[in-house]
Amino acid sequence: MHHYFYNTIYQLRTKEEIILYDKLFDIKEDDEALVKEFLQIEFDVESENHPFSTPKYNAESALWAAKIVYTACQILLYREHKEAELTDLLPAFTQPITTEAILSADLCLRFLPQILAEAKLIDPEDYLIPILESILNQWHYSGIGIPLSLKNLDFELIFSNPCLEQLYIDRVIDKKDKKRAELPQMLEKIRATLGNYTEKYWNEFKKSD
Amino acid sequence: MAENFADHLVQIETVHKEHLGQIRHWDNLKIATEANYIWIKNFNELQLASVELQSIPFTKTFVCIDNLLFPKGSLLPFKKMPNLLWTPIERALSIELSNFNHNFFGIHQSVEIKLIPTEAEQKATVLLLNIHTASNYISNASAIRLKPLKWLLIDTESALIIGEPMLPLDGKAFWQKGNFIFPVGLHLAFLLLEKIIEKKLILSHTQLIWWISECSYCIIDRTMLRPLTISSWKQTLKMD
Repeated sequence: MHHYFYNTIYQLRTKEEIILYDKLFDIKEDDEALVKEFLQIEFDVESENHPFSTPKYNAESALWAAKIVYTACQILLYREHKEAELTDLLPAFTQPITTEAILSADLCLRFLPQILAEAKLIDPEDYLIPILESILNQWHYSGIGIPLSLKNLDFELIFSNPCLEQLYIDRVIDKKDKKRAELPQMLEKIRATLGNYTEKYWNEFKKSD
Repeated sequence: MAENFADHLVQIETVHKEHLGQIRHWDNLKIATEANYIWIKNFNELQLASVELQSIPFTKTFVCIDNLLFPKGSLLPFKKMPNLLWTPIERALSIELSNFNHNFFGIHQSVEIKLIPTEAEQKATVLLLNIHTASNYISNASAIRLKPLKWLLIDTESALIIGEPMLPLDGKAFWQKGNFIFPVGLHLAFLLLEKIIEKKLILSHTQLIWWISECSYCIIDRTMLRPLTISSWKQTLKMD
């Protein structure tokens, strides 16, 4: 019995590389259960390093994100699908998006920007690209660092939780996503975090002032 | 007529040579020897009038005009200017150092290693803080503030945080110089002995000498320092 899905996600989380074992879009239930459990452990380890109190693990969104990343890679490698089929293969998250869901999904979704970049390299007019971009626009915590339209980003949920808010700011600074830092919702918060040491932490940001 | 002081020469008998010691540091002077005499030239006005020169006994001052030597104040020439080989005074007069004293019995004397206040401004980069007061800030801090820092738990009450920019927390500040960490405003009493003291105190260069106060220190191994992260802090202090 192979657990290809689990193995791929395990590789992704531990070695930050994707290995596809077979052309396989159907994921078995026990494989899903394994991934949920594995991502729970990963979530707990990561949350040790979170400021304030971490939102709880949301297994559904973590699994959904893992599937998105897995399927996106499959599509990238074995393209046999028409445009219409792609949206079915990469469904939207059906449950309400909460802070828990954002952090849990990020475990895998944070790798989606690299897959998106790869897709753009292969074919800039690929149908896959707008689909992935719309996912990253909705789950924009995972999309920090890549040039997106940055329109209609929902910050209300992000800023409703101090932990997620600080993590978001940290990632914007870490990835030096200047465009996002200059959004009116972000600017003051980024400045507050950098404090007197903007030059030291992020020199380019200072220059634009 | 303005006097030209470069024409002035001083003559002294060779047997009284040691008296020239007190003007040897005037490095503009040139010196030459002739039979039993030593000639010195190149004085400036201040030097000619100075106590150092005037107090040298057995000297005669001459003025050289048209290659004739006139004793100072005399209108009759004393003799023709001899041909001399001039050398800088510091080369002509060598310094003798006394021999090593084999009968010196002061070798058991010792200096006390201690710190003294200094006026020089130092940049504090090390902070000793109370873990209870720091906890709230560090557990909720932005990752970027913690990233450049390393830390070490000292005891159940305090932790040492090394690196800059320092955290905006209350604590005792220290500054780092090489392998030494001093309280701000203090440095070693004998700066010259710094390297020797360092060798005496530490076994390897991975070690830091942390001066807790003016007269007590503690050795910290750099390998004991950990990157400061929220998880490292929480897990060390067993917090939720």
